[in-house]
Amino acid sequence: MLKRFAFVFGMAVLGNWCLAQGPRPGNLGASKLDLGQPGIQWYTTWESAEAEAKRSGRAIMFVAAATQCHGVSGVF
Amino acid sequence: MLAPDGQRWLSRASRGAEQVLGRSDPTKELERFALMYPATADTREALVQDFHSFRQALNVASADQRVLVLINAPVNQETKLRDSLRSVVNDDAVIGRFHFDFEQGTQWKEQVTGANESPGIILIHPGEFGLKGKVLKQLPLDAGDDLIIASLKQANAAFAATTEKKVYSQHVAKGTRQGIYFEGAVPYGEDRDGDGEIDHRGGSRGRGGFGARGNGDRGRSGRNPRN
Repeated sequence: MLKRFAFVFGMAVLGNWCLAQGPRPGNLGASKLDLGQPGIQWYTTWESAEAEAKRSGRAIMFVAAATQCHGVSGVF
Repeated sequence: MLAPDGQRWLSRASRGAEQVLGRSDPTKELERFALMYPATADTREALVQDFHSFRQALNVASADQRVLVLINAPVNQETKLRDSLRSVVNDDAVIGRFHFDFEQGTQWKEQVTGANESPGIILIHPGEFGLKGKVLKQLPLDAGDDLIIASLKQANAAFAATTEKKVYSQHVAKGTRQGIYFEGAVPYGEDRDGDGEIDHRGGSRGRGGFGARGNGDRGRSGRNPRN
């Protein structure tokens, strides 16, 4: 199912807020995936996602989020 | 949701997947979009992912808690590798488990320990906050698919066995205590009114949030921003 889309993830678009006005920092949990298990193979630039979507004819699910929260990096 | 041309909107934009895909059966709704555009080319030949910068790649790999695979190759070899590595990155044992980044030069080494002098395919364990990393293994640029896949599987297993799963709320609290600060290339703030410009005013409930730091100004509430 997940291979049916060209996923693109717009990083840092939303600045220092976690997923825009999504969860507050204190409400962030953990991934449901165990470490090492496969997740979504995101395209992390618009250019690469668009190229893959055009190559494969698949739709794009565009998600914009930041990999920092309140300036702290390494977080989704 | 966008059509494959990247231009035509298939849904409205919203803050959460539920608002786009609905709450009752978002998977089914997602599938509906997928069925509108069945793949017209082999998805096992999908393009290899890339980042705009190594700095961002390291940060994302840390956030996603995946091993980062850096392809550090001369320009003339990089083009070939972008093609030849497709079969590797789309292998069932690999897809969705790693992040991939192509970088020229040596600047990336400033953030990574254990790198040697040679170009190569470098497997990197991202640090807790994605600001640093350490080399797990380096493969030559002409390594065969079997060797690369075996090395990736080994690195992934080792990473999973030796890395603590993040609870992101605790991660942010810890980072704040330690003074961790990462500033992205995009100005802080958000296009609240949809006019294409980043708005820097405070939150809707009077919080001094968006844009409070990025351009040196404060949120509308006038509060000092937090780290």
